[in-house]
Amino acid sequence: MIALRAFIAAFCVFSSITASAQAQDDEFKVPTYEGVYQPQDRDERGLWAMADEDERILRDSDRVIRDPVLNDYVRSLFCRTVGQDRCQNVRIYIVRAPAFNASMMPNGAMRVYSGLLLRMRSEAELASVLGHEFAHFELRHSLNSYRRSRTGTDIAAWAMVIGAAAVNYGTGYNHSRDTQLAVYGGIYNFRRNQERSADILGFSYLAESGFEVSAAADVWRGVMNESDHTATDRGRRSGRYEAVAFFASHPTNLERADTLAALANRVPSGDYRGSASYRSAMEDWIPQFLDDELALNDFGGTDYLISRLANDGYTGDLLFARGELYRGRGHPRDLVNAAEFYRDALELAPDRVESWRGLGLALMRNNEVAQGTDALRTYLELMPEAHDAAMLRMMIGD
Amino acid sequence: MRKIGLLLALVLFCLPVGASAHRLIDANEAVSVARSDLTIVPTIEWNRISQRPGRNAERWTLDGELLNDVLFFAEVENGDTLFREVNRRETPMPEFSNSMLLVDLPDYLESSLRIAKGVATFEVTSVEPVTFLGQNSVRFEFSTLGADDLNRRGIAVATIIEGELFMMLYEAPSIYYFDRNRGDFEQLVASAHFD
Repeated sequence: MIALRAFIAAFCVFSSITASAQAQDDEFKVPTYEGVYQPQDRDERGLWAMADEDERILRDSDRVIRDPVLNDYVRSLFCRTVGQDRCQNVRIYIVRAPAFNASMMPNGAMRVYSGLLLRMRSEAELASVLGHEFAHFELRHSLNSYRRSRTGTDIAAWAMVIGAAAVNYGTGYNHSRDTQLAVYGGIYNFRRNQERSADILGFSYLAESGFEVSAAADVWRGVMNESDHTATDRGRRSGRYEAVAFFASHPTNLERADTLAALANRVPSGDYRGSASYRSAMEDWIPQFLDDELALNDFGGTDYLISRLANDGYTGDLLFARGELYRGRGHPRDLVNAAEFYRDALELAPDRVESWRGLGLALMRNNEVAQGTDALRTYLELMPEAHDAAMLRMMIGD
Repeated sequence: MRKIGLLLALVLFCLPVGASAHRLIDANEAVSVARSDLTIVPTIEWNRISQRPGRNAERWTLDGELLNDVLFFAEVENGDTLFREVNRRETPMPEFSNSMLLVDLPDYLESSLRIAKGVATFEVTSVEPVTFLGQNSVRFEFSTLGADDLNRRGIAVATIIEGELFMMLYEAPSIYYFDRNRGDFEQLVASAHFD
């Protein structure tokens, strides 16, 4: 009985949103926001309680980037996208993790991964992802998915938790947060029809706030290309995107970017892209985010990512990262390429003195000792206090 | 339905307990580690975790590897990985290359730890040349933020002998544990030799 009432209540809420959207002549008109919302029934209160606990852990986590300037920037961009009244109900947490992902909990907490910020090239691109996630929240998709999958999830969720505990016992690594996420992941999976309504509402935010809507399709295309490059480099078939964290909860296929592009053609698009302002806001963060990406041992994907970011021309940071990537793989041909990237990086950004270190080490590893020694000596003159200075001095015999 | 779930939970929970039997390493007795000639003489008792973290690896601990984790890697050859694959398809472990320089090893360890342990951040705090196993070696200290949101510190001592990597590693929570057992790890390093 409770379940039935809950279902009817949820249906009314859901249909009132979609109905009000469809009642307009314009399908991309943003509906009036309902304001502060509280969970309505037992299911939803339970879901919120889990999300509240999750958020409490997240709030205190050292993985969250606290920098006020970056947080203000992402928040102001999000508020600009969905409007002031909607944005007031959302807390944004920027999580340092090299993955393309953003997710929204049913209680209004949003996770934005540093890997997402790295992959965006303009404010319009970031706005399209944040708007899409918020649309799932506004339409309360996680509640609907939760209800539908609940009976099936009970046992599966238990098996997953206990199974993970069993694995943990053997290896000793605590992936409990990941386990929790895996269970939630099962609950928060979005269905195709939900994707479609979120797409439409997401595009509506973009259109209303004056962003260029074609950015959305660019984002999907870029991420799918990256996944293809990862696959090809590892010698397997491409076209499967489960490895991309975001797509684990968002069904997708090769046509998705095209579908989005077609949808974008029907939306009254603004013309604001915001590439330059996005680049300058991210300037200080790109080196750190790229560095996290380099440790993933994903040569194909990372190389594509760097070249995509260099669409408007290489910068010293991008060339340096590319040098590090090639030097890390370390085939003789890679070392030759790496040395070239470091040299180019030094021309564009002579102040980025780590390029001297990379150049020296690439040459040394390729047995070009004399030139390598010169480069390392230059680095040590510029950075006498470098954390590995003693090691480098020993290598060059100083 | 719920009863079946709980029963399944109970069965799964009980299974691995019997499967992992760890071994006590006696104090003051020479013991070879990581299926190699690398020999250690500990002055206190240690526990050896029965499950090998990698093909050429061995793990010791005092209070459990989340609180003090000592790893030995020996005879790691060109193309080997430090740790067992977690997910070969999506997140393959980086392979050791015998052309690596000693100063490249911190980066190599970072990549391995991020994938094997799910470490979120890894920062090298110092790198210096030392002698280990009678060879020119590298010793570096680092700090990590684990998948369990705990800040840890670590020390690694490594060398490459005829294209094969030998490394000893210590990692423990920066609060209390790291400093408490740092000396015990240094003692293990000092006792390391080939038999």
